[in-house]
Amino acid sequence: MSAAAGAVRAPKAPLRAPKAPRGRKRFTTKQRVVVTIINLAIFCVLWQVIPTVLDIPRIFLPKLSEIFAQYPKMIEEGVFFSNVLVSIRIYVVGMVMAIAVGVPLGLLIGGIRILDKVLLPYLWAVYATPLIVMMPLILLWVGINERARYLLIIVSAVPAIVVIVMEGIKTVEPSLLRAARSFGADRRVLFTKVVIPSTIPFIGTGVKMGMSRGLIGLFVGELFTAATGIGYVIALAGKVFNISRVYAMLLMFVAFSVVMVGLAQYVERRLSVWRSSAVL
Amino acid sequence: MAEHHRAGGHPAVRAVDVSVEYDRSREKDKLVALENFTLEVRAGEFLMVVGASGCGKSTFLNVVAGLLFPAKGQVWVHGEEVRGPGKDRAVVFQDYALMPWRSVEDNVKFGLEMQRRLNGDTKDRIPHYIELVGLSGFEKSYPRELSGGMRQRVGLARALATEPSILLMDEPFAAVDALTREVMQEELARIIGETKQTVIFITHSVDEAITLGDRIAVVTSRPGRIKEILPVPIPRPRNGREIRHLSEYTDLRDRIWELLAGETRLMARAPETTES
Ligand SMILES: Nc1ncnc2c1ncn2[C@@H]1O[C@H](COP(=O)(O)OP(=O)(O)OP(=O)(O)O)[C@@H](O)[C@H]1O
Ligand SMILES: [Mg+2]
Repeated sequence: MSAAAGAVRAPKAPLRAPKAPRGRKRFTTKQRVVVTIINLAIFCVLWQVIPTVLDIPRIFLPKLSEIFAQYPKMIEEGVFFSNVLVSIRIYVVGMVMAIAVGVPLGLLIGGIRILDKVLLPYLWAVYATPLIVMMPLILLWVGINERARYLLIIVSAVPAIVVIVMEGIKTVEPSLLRAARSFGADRRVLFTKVVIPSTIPFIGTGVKMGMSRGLIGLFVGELFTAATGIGYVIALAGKVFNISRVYAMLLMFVAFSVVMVGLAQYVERRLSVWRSSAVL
Repeated sequence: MAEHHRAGGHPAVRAVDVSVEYDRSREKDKLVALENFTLEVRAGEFLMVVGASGCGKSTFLNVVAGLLFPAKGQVWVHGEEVRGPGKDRAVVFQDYALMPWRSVEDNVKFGLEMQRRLNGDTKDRIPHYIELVGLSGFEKSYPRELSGGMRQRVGLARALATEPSILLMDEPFAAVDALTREVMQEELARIIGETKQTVIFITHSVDEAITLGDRIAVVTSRPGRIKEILPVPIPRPRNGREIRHLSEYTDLRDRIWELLAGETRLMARAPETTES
């Protein structure tokens, strides 16, 4: 029976084949790059021909070539780099502040049971509410200026980070806490050496979610309060019905978002290597 | 090696009339895991605990470790009442409880780190204990890259590295193969012979109990109580395979089997056996 008992006690982690599991093909990096390029090329060609073939009015969907033609034009006018750089700067600074506030706050609230119990419903309310409803208040508080733009990013990102980090703290394996306590760990050591390390994958996820929410904050801020940035250029172009420029800058924003969230995803993966569920 | 104080003739562990109840999430009643559990472990003794699965052995170990507080009764360690975990005790957990984000080496350091005792001196022990449990060459591996038996040995090294005066071991060799187990048993017996640490060792293997123990405590089925304590009348050092033919060995083995069989039959609807 002891053999069977040993088998029953074997770790619960799901087995995963080290290489190419059956039934699903894995592509090499090179293959993936090629596939992505072909995919994008087809998409571009379709965008180029569909407006003509289907006779879609320009105001809805300009041809891709017209949109791309906007980039040299904007560079010539001196509105491209300045505004894109402003967006990047404000986003990065805003997110650094949001992470610096959100992660410790999540750890603190999640780590102190009474705080968790009391604050969780409010945090969920803030997390669930679209931040647009905060706009009038924020503008009242700080005025229509750059500070409002940072604040919008922070207000969008922090609740997501806090809520996810708090949830992460709740998933800490009780047997690990018990093991640490058995060696006489005090609360502080328990927190820094067990709770925080096991929460790190969730910190990664929280930061990732915060980063995509922060993008909304950035965009809303630029549309409504800014005199600079990608969103501002879009708003301005929209007012004069320069649809190609609106699309051109929207594509910029999409590209920017993809890069940022991709970065966050990468960081999240790196932070959770030790989890058996993370396939790298 | 660490100093193992023996406060003036006190037993290493004394548990008197200990009862432990668990709240059950699904049922309204409480589950009584231990009832009037009384046991004395002498300083420097190697005490084996055998009993059917679910009879409360791990529960008792957790009480001695200071991780669980009994509803009734008291526990003393070296004459002092247990109020929580202490540096004088270390546990080898049945479910390993290794930190998945730490390498083998860092897991072995973990106990010392929790006790804030990791310094130049204690750090030097780490490779020694890793070697002792046969995991040299795996220092940088993560627990998920190890087999069940290897993980168990990391847990063992982690506890040994703190050099406690009382080792609480919960089926530490359950997941290792017969040969490795024999080597580990011999190593453990050798170490304990040198350090004179007190050991409470839970096992499902009667052979292991006789090979390692000074005395063997047989626990009743749930709620757990001590049914009988049997001394092992075989001198040390013992070799598991050589002593197996002694009449003292076979007699003791039969006696323990009888006691266990009686208990197991009581749990009519849960016919769990306890030996390979
Ligand atoms: N945290 C818990 N909550 C509720 N019941 C528990 C808990 N831990 C243990 N029990 C119950 O207490 C009883 C004794 O458990 P324990 O783990 O001490 O048994 P054991 O003798 O170590 O068994 P095994 O040999 O299988 O490890 C079991 O019936 C179990 O269902
Ligand atoms: Mg047990």
